Amino acid sequence: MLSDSERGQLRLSEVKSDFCVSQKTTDELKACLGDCTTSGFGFEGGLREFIVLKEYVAAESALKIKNYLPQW
Amino acid sequence: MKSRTPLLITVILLAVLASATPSKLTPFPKNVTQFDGVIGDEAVRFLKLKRNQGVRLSVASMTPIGKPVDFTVMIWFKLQRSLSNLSLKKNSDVMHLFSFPNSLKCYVTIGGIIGCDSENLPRLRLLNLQDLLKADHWFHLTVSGQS
Repeated sequence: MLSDSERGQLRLSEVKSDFCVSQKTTDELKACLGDCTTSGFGFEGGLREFIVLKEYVAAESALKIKNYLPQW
Repeated sequence: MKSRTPLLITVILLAVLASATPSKLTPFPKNVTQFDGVIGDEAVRFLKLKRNQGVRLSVASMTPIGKPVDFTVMIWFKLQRSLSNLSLKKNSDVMHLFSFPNSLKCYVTIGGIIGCDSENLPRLRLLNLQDLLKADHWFHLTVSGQS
């Protein structure tokens, strides 16, 4: 029987090059909920959590972490 | 000479069923959030954003200038409208979920594609979720890259 964390889950793992976060300026890095280049950022909907980690988290670990993240 | 290790992308999308009337940072009863990843007695609180009410967040400096860095982004989101009625960026078929200026961006298309652009790899289509991406359903997306 599937647990809640496994239900409805889809996965994709593949190898690509040049897929990364980088920073071009010395300014503090910003993240936008939506598109930074659009007025108002353009996202319409609900957002419950947005977490940025400075490390790679493998798929299996990410699934375990998901259920232990605090809500806001 | 040391060869460069290919970057590994891992994408996980968890589709969960939860119907709730959107409201700004409002808790909802546990019984309507059975599959949304909330544990214990936590109630779901979320931020309702309209297209003209964006949020910009400060992120601690992550990397030397111009150098790629390992990252993981996790986001819980739900769409306000159906795919055919998405609020699209002007002259585009996408609505961005999140972005870093001049760097990683991830979005939803009207065709139900979850995709991401990075500085050197635009239009990377990660998942086709045309049949799953519905309004008012929560999704958890994790995008992770390794250098």
